[in-house]
Amino acid sequence: MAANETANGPIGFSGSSEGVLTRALGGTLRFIRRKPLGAVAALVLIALFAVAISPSTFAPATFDEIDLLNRLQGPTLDHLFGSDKQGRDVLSRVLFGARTSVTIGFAAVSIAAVLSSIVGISSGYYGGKWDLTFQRFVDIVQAFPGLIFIIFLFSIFTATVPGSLASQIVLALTLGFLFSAGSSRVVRSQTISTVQNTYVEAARVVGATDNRIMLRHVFPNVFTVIIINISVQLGAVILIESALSFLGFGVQPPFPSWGRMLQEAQEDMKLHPYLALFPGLAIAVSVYALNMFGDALRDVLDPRLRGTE
Amino acid sequence: MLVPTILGVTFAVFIVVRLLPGDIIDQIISDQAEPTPEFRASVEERLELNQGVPQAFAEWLIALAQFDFGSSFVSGRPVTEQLTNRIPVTFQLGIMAMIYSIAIAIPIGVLSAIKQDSLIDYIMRSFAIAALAVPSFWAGQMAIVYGFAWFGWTPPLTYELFWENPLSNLKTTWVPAIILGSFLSGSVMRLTRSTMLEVMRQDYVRTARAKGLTDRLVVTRHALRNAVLPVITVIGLQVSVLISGTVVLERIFTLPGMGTLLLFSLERRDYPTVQAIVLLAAMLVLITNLLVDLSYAFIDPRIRYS
Repeated sequence: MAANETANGPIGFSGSSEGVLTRALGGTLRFIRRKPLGAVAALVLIALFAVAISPSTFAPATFDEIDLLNRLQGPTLDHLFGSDKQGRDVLSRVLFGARTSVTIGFAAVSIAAVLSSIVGISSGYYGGKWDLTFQRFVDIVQAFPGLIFIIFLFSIFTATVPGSLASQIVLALTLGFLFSAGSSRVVRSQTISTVQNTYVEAARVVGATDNRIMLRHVFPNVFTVIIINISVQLGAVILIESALSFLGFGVQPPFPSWGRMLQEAQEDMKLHPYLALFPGLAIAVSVYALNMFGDALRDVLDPRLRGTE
Repeated sequence: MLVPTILGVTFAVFIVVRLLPGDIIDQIISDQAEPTPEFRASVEERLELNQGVPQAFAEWLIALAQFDFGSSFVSGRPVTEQLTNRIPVTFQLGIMAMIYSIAIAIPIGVLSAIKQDSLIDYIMRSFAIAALAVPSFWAGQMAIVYGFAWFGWTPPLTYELFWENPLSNLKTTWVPAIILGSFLSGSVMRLTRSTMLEVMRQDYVRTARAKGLTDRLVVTRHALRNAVLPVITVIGLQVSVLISGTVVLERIFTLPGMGTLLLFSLERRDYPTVQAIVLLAAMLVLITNLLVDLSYAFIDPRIRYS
């Protein structure tokens, strides 16, 4: 059973290093064969992450290089995506914007994953008053429309620590907090069904502590759900981050972000459509690839969906 | 269940608004050449901001119980009066978007499930994922840019209420409503498809087929009715997404709705107005969740009789 489990996905836990490698390769090949669209999406994501890790290797200029003689140029060979009001190269800004979006996205979903695991597992495991308190709290968080919720938290925190980098950290924290509320529900329900298994009872009988049961028996069982949450939420985080930056409640200059570029394009876009076209395309393509890949991953990993194709 | 959550929400709104850095007094005073402490105190007095937080909260709650949202700090007019002009705009946009999204999502989801793995299915599924990937504010920008470049179309700048001038009103609202609706339709479409696929494998569907019912009857009477339950849950959950979406689209298409008012009041630190809008939004989310729970009973007789 255990061997079968690991062979289904690229995640291997045991065996010699060579065994892990071949198994991972086998898993990847199987994934490509079963989910060709997911594999294409994965390629797009690899490109996106490469750009995000080192935008300067791909970008023809830096994101803040001002060239007032070449303002508002349409797409040319010098500036493939054109140049903006201050003569900055739009392509370079889009590429550097990838770093902003991907960093905030990953930071936020990691925070959400950790928070939701702690809250969801303990809430589902202990039940009772503890659970009830947490659930009411989650209700309150979820009652606020997401965008409004973040606008509030963001305004409160950025005033205490201003700056471009600080704004990104605040965004990641607040988005992580918001998204943890929804996914803690999923983790909780998965925990409740896991706890009913006899092996959890057996562990308790032999004297395992609550912490040990949660860590060694419940956590591995809800791990798949957590991974699925992460892959589904990454795209959503990037979308909402861009909307916030567009409204002015997101990433502050000088670092470029796609949402902010779209806001800056607002004024001139009727005469210079490329200013709004490329940053938006970057968002759409990234989120599309993330969703496609997340879908494929879910189909392969989700025990409830396994074998239903 | 609902009451402690509502109380929690009101308290959260009240506290969070006051945690925002700066307040209206700073903005009023900044117009003054030489602000004196006396002047500050007089403004505080007038806006009743000199009370302690517990007292202010208690007074606000008592006023709320009488449906009194207080008066705006900026205009001095009652918040209720401001909202009556704004609510119809946002509601209309939201309802139009929702109707459009359901009208395209459920038929396409069903079609996609019936013709599983066909070309239509692939196209529709890709469309659904694309609808979820395109940010609605960018779609709005593209509609404005290319609507102008290709068709010479610009969104009308005037807004008239639907019951005053339906034609002019629809001319202003149809584009944002379709954009918002398309975004919403993505997840409904996907869910309809997957629940339909699940239901179509059930024994009672086979029985219905076996007793010679037409495909059409099997799908509408037997399958769709059972598949629609989780879909309704998701539509209910989308109210929150819908509200966030209207804030952004109102900004793009300069519609005088609640979202525009919220952003404006937030900037001015107009506590009563911000509190009222956020509270209304949160209540709307909670009430739809309740309605969704109740609607199960109407659709699913098993719940009604248990």
